[in-house]
Amino acid sequence: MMATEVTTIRLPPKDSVIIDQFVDAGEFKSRSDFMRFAIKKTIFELVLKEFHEKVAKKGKPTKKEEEQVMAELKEIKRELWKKYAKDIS
Amino acid sequence: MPRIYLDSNIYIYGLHHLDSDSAYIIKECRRGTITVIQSDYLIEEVLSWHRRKLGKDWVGKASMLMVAFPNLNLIHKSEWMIQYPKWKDLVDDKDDIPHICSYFAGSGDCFVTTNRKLSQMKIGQHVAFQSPEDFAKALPKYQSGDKTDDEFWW
Repeated sequence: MMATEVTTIRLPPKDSVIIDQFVDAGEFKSRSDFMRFAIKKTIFELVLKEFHEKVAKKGKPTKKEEEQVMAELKEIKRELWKKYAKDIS
Repeated sequence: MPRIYLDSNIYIYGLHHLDSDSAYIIKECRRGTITVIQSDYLIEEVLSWHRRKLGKDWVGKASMLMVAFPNLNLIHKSEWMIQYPKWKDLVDDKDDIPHICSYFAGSGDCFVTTNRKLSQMKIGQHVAFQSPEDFAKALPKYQSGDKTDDEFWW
């Protein structure tokens, strides 16, 4: 089982009521299950947003960008292959 | 449900070029109508690229986005290495073999890549290679099940 940490959070009562309604309806196993889902979803959305804002570009890759990525990947693959090939009999 | 293997270049173009066909394919895969096959080799390759280009701070984030698919079949090296003897002579670049072997280990229906060289090798007779452009056009044919409007699924 995955290691977990216990964290206490304070919620407005109206939010607890809504969470309990989802649990009672069988959408989530427990309040903890709901919170895990909500936190993961938020992290995913924040990471995606950060990626889009700081890293990603609009538009399609140009031919030059494509060639550059392919060359970079080729170099990485060569190194990786050396590592993995040792395990192939 | 169709099963696809996305080459490392698809993840990089898809995560870094918002209007690319690769971005469209990844977004659709996040909706859960397609099973995505990945391998330890593929993940390491994509994350190594991010480490080199963007620094280690982005590796964890790229990792999260890369595996964020509701239907994901992760192939371990012990699974793809079994395929190696069968396909090794049909692929010119040895360092591409793990991808091909993972595609077969994961019973892939389609292998999406921008690497035209790969599809021109002898292995092209055994693997259903598609460019991201062609796969994006053919996506409705591949999709099954209910789509959600939410990219997030977990």
